[in-house]
Amino acid sequence: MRNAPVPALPEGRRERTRRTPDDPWDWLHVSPDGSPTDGTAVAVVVIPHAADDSSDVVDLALAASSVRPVETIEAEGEQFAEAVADAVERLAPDVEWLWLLHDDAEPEPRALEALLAADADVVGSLLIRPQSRVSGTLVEEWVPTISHSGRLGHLAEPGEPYQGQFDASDVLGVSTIGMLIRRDVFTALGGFVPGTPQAQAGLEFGWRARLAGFSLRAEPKALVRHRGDAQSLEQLKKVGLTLASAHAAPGRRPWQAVRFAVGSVLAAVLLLLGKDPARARAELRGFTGWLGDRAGRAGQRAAVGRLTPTTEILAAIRAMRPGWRQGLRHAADNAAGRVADWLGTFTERGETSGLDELTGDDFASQARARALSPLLLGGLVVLTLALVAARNLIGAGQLRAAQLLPAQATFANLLADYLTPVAGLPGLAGPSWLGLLAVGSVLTFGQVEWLVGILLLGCVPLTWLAAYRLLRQLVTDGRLALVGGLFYALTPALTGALNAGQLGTAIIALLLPLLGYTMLLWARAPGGRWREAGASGLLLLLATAVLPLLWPVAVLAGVLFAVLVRRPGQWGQLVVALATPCLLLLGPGWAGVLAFPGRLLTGPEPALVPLEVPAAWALLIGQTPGAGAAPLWLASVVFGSAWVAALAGTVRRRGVATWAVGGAVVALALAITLTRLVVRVSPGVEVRPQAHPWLLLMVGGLTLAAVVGLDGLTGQLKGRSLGPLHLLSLGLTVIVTASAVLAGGWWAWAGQAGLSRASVGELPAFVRNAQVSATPSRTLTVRLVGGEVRWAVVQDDFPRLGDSERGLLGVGEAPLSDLARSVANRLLAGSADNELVPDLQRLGIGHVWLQGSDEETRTAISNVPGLGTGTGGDAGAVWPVPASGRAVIIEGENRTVVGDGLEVPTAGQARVLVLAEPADPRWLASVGGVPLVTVDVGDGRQAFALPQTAGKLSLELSGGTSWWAWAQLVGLVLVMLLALPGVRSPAARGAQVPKRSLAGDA
Amino acid sequence: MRNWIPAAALTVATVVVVGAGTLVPAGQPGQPVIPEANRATIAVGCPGIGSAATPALLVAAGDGAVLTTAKLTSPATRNEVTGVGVLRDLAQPMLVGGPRSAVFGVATSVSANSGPLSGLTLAACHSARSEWWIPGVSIAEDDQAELVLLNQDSTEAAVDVTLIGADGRISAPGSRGIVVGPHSQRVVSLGPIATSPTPVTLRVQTSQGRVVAGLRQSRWPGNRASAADWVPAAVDPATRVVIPGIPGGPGARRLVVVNPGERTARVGLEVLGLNGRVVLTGLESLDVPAGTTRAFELAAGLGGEPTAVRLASDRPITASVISDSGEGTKGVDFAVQPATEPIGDMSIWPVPVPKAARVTVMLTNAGEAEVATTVSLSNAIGAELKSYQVPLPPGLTALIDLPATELPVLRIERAGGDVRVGVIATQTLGTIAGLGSLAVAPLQAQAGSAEPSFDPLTGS
Repeated sequence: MRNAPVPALPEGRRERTRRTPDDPWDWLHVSPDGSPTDGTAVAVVVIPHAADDSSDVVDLALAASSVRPVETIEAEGEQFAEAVADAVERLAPDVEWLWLLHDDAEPEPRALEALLAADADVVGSLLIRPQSRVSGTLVEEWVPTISHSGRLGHLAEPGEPYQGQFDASDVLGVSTIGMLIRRDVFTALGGFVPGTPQAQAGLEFGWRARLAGFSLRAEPKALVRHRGDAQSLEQLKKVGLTLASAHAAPGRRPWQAVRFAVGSVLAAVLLLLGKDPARARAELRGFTGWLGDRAGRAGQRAAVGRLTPTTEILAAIRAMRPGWRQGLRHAADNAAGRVADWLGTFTERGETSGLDELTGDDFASQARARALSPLLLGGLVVLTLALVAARNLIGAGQLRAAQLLPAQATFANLLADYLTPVAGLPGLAGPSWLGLLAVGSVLTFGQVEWLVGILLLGCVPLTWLAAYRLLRQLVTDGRLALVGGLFYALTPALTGALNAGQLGTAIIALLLPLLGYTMLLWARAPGGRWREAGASGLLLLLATAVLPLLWPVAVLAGVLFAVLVRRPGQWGQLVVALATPCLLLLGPGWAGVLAFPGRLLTGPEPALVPLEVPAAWALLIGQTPGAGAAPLWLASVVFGSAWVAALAGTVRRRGVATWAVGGAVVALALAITLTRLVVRVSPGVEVRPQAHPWLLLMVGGLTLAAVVGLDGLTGQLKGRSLGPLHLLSLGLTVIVTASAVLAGGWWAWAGQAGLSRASVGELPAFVRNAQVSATPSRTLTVRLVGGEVRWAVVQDDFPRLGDSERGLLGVGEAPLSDLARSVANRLLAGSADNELVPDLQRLGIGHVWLQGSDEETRTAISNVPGLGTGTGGDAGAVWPVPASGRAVIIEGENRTVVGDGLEVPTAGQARVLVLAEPADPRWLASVGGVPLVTVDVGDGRQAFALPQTAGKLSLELSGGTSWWAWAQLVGLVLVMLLALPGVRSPAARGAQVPKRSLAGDA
Repeated sequence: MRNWIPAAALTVATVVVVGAGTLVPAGQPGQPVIPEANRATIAVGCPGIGSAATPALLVAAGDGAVLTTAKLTSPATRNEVTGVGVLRDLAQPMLVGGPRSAVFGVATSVSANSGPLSGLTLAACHSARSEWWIPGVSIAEDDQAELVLLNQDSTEAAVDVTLIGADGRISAPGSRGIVVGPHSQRVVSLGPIATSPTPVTLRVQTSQGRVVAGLRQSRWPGNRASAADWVPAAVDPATRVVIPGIPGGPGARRLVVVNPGERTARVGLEVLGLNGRVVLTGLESLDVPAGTTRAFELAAGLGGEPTAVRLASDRPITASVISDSGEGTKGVDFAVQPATEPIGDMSIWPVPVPKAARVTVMLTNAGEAEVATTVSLSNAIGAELKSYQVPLPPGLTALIDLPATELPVLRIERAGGDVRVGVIATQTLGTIAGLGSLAVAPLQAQAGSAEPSFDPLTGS
């Protein structure tokens, strides 16, 4: 029912007629010079759309138009194409232009004028969304287009703010709403193709118009307000494929069908992986729908088939369709958007809101006017300090420290160390964290050293950012989050973990706040979110690989959460998150933990940790044994202020703060308890668990308590008169600030002084070559350090990350270690006994290397009977051990060093192949393809009976199938996919969610 | 008030946790046992200092470990000895071996009242080394010096000998590249190589393998053999050396100092006597030019007192003292006391002399703190005869005159500190006042040193 006071119309025909001069609304159409402007034979075809009485909108808008249409006619019928065609038929013969509008469309007064001025056969309008007070002018639809793969799109994203950024241009298609068509063009092309959805009819018609040689432009000055209808993704897919296939050359259609099939399946898989099963389903249904709609395809093809475009026209059309570059650009834009969203998490305030957030424009910046953001400033300061701390550590070579072995030279070596079994220790291979390090090094292009460098040298800044992001979710005062994050991030440095090169502690420091953040998001989301559950599981897996005891702690916390919070709907996600570390059970790393349960309580490379017991009170202030921790006075100030601030937080605000300090006390208790223990780890070494990871948890709890408990204190005190609370607050602020400055300064100056960077291998080149030659041998290395004589037995490419857990010759109960310790002791004590050379040969030691020119030690080594002549200079000396290698053929008194892949000559008598390796049933040896039989030589070494025939020697320590590695990899990939952000829905892409300014909101 | 309760409770909990942690003892790892690999043995070589006419006596004594003796030329043929082993009538070099962890000592002696080996000769057996310093060698016209090189290994040894005299290095043709075959002894007479009127020092170095080196010295005044002895090796050059066991009584006491360095050494001399430290007038500081051996007469200053001498130099030096048993050349024997290493915590040394010989043990504390020592005397069958508790103030030499014992065996224990020991034996052999001295020093293998520690980054 129309409300406008217009003359009554004949019943049964809703036809709009030309307005007459006695139209009481004529005064609305008076032009500025007083005379109304005629519509240059433009007829408006109104397409019924509105379900309610909002159909008056278009009438009101037309009444205000600067160019008055000569006729307005309503299209009748269910089918769009037929309805429009029928309406056109009924138009007066002098109508030259057709302007298509919905009855709820609201063209701007000068829209028609702009369309007519475009001077093209078909002109499209810019559809904008109905006016919103807070959202400004937003694009609804602008220039539909279609890719070569049949994917529909637009030149602008729906919901994009319009600020005059579009220009009039020749296009492939326009929206039917607001579309101005020459009547003869419409007639020549036979109107719209029946069956084409209205939303795509403009694109389809425009494409044919282009093919027929007509001009088609989009005019952004022609604004039409209209809210479009949502279309199903399935239908979009189907229509897109129909249009694309209709315009393909007949000869290419079969190939195109295959391409469509493959593309649809691939897209569905990717969408499924992107956690959007609905769209994945729509992809497949859209494709099958297209495949089954023969009539639709035929209709489209027939309409296109009637046209004979020139080569130039086809080329021009091809250029208008987005190619793979635009797809890449689109993907890059999406990725950039994702990154921007992620960066925005560092400034989001989580659930806390101030008055400014609740009022004001959605897109207005909430930032106060600042020259420099505190986050940015803090980041610059931390980065500068990090550079100062790493001043001697940037360059070539591998990082090493007292508890850090050099990184493997290549990714392949690292992976091999993870996968390769350990002789003499059935079931054992590399530790789990080594495998994850290998996966992580993929991010650094296979450069393991880069990853280690980033984790250690970037530990403090990265941890600070992660901690800040977590704390920012919990407090309104960003400064508290900055300072609190800094305290936590400096803990690895202050406790000496960085100086000692504790890679595990550095990793844990970074993982804990990341895990806290994802768990917080998961807990806050109603019903939880699989992505956060997956991310939490992934982070928990990484943390468990480094510090296995974290897993039961996390399980306990998860059970408590489930019991206290009671959200049965999230229990499945919780189980997934907590069960993800089970992947580690598949590998031999966990077998090592089961064989040596003490490993549960330690971090990586526990055999390198000193055995000194830290005093309980010292752990309270983060003091650990060794020379790398902060000085006592500094630690007292820093950790003391942390405790005071945390307790002050519990006084001011119970609840979270109290629980946090309670957690800190529990972590301290764990640190104290674990460091009183002595446990056995692979390969049979007695070690003392480190306190550092638990001190991290302690400081984390203190930081959380202080930050949450003291949040808002400044504002609270503002309105009060000066009193003791102000003084206490001031005092605490001064102490905390001073602590942060001192701690940061110490970290930069001496917090990483224990790390050094140098090339691996100080041995002469010929000795190194002997270690990795076809007949490899080991080297007994000796060095004087501050009056101490230090030794090691090195092989292959020298000890690398994880080797202390695989077993270093000379440590613990590793097979042959007893002999190695005995040999070293006797050799360096100058015993020069008769059995030294035979023992060196048993160990497969081919050279003895002494660094330096200590005469006493040189003499002690030179005196060993049977040892070769030492050569060298002041820098060092090398003594060859005759006939010694890791694989030796013993034939009577003769010894011949051999190796895998070498030819074994014939022999005249029985002989034995002896390996300087622990006996292990997994050793496989063959000569000329004939397997060798194991024999027992009585000293624990592996030996085989060699036949007298010649042949090629093959040696291998078989670890069986590596199915577990593949299973772990697949599981890890699945978890990572679960943890990755999902695919953004088109609505989400188009919707302009309110964004905060990155620069001003710390 | 209620807000304070959680903070107070947490504070108390923290204190309790820390307190409990302080009181609970921490577990300690088991000490890694370094297996000594029982098959690890060391061997000492005893040069053949005797002759067919004047055979030597060899005594080996240990702490109960099984020792083995074998001829140098057939090392595989071994005889086992437990406790004290005595080999008489020896005329060839011997090897004595034992576990590396065992404490044992081996010494030989020759005594004759006439002939080329007149006098009393005592010599300790040592492990092979690649370098030896032998100061106090006389290659004068009337003296005969023979360098005895013993190769106890199965590979050849190549030896270079350097003579350092009063004016520097002495040219000695044929002194380089002396090859000593495996399991063999070679005697190199120095007479044809070089002569010097003053005592010289021999530096014996191996360019291949290792040897046991010693020098057999005999005096031939007027072409008649008057005395002979073994000139033992001294410690490697150092800035601080101690010569213990300088006998008392009449006769010359000639200090021979060698400075192998590039600059003149200024050497401070201290006498560590029975009453403590004494500085000899006119001999407070000695200058030894670079690359020379110089001799200094101490007899007048020592006044016939048994003593020890400590030399402190600004350059590395080593030294010996040549002691005569009387004045003149007739009936006078001589012995050489070298600079030695401090003894270990426990030393066992046999003194292969008969009951008729008079044995004096001289203990010198060359350190700065008092040391408690214990000297136990046993006989040849291992029965302990007497024990002496000897507290040694710093800088003092103590004497123990042993009761007459056949083949006495000494067991010397010390509780830390720097203790040097010399054993003097005197015996009248016809008209000869026989004098022998035994330099008690730990076998190289038992010298003890800081235990090497494992460091996986070594060499990386």
